[in-house]
Amino acid sequence: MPREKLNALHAARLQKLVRYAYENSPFYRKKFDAIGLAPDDVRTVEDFKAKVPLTDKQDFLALQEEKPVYGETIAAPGDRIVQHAETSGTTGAPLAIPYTQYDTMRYGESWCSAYWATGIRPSDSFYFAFGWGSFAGFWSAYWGVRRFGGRLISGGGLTAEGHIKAILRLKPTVLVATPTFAVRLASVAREMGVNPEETSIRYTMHAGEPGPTALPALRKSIVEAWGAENAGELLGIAEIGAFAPCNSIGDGVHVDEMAVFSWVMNPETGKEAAEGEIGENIITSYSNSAQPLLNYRTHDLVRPRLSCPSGRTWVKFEGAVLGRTDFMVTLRGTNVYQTAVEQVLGDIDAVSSSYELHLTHQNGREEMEVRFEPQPGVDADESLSALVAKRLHQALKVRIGVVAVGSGSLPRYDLKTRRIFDHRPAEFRRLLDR
Amino acid sequence: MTDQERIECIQTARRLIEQAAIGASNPMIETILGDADQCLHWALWNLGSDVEFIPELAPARLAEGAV
Repeated sequence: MPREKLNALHAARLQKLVRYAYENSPFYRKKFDAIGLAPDDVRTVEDFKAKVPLTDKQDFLALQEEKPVYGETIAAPGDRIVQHAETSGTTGAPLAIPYTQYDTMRYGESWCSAYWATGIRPSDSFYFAFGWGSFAGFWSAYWGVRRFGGRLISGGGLTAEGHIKAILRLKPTVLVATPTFAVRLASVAREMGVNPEETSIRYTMHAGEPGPTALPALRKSIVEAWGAENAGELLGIAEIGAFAPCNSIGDGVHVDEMAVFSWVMNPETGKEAAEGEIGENIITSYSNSAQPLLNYRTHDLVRPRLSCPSGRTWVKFEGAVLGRTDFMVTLRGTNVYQTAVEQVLGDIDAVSSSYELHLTHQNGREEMEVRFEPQPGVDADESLSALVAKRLHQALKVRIGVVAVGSGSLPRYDLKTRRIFDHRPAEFRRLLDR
Repeated sequence: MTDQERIECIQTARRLIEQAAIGASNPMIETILGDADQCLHWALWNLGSDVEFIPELAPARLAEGAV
């Protein structure tokens, strides 16, 4: 669809969304009333960007904690909520995500564009190498295949060896997994004496971590490991879905402008970044009617482009996500924030406030080691390390290496404290993390 | 068929679904027709048609006698 028509559609649809949110969501009604904003005040896309307040995950979490499960974030009657999902909860409590029937029908739509651009067709069959639970991302992948029309095979909670055996037995042509797990599966296959290049897998599709678009070296690893024709990916956030599918040339992801409206904000000025400038992706969903998200901060740093040699007219994020406004690394599909680690350490009395995070890339996957100091007078024994490791695992839902160092041995800084030491090869880091 | 002609066909289909939903005392039929209307609404949305934000065929709207 031409840009002019897309812009006109956004102007009309954002007006309707603002009215819907105001009339149905106590959260938005109070937020708008507090600044004297009426739905009729939003008539253009520029009005929307400038007048509708930014929202953040913390706003929603606070309201849900105040009145579980959804609090005042909800905009549909309880009997219209047909599905519940959650974010992974790596920054604290998971955000509850309600869906109406219509929301679920549209939830995985963007996957169809990614499948097609990667070369996948409805005659293909899809193997999901992940367990099922309330984590929203899996469900969006499921709905994507249901809409696209291929055969869906769920690997569920099988072990890596079990997944390989299922692939050999059921002969799917598309592997859907986090990028690092796809690499690990290929490695496990070889340990089992199976050459992954000789399996039925012809394409791989990824989400949940920086993937083959953001990291060309990772693309090479995956494609070579599986002997695949192509590897695709989607960018998304659990609260909204996988909203930005890859294109056919693999140099970026495109915002699905039928499902969402996006603009890019300069984090320092709060104004819109120009085409080609790096800024924060601010997103608004058209397809989350149970819990509307308007001008929602993703904290993802992106570089927008309005044209693309692939021919796709939706806004492109060149190279996908280039970094984060708040530092985050994804370990085995789980987002780990520096702030979350800091909170865990801060809650343990025997641990000082000095710590370091060391990132490495080992055997095809990201690893993090936390180096911490005990308080003066406290022994850096194994029991303290075990406690720290256990608390981190409980809070972050992923196992992290822990090393206790001598009290006072970590360097102190006069100005900006350095907490993160990234030892990963440059090709396995996002642009702004290099 | 042009996009505009396709939009008009889908609009006609939605009107027929609304007709079929009136008085449907079987909840299963009501739900199926509601789902069908939502699919058609999404098709119109993707074709760039000026449609309402949320399709409101079932079941509250039916109960109110709005269709």
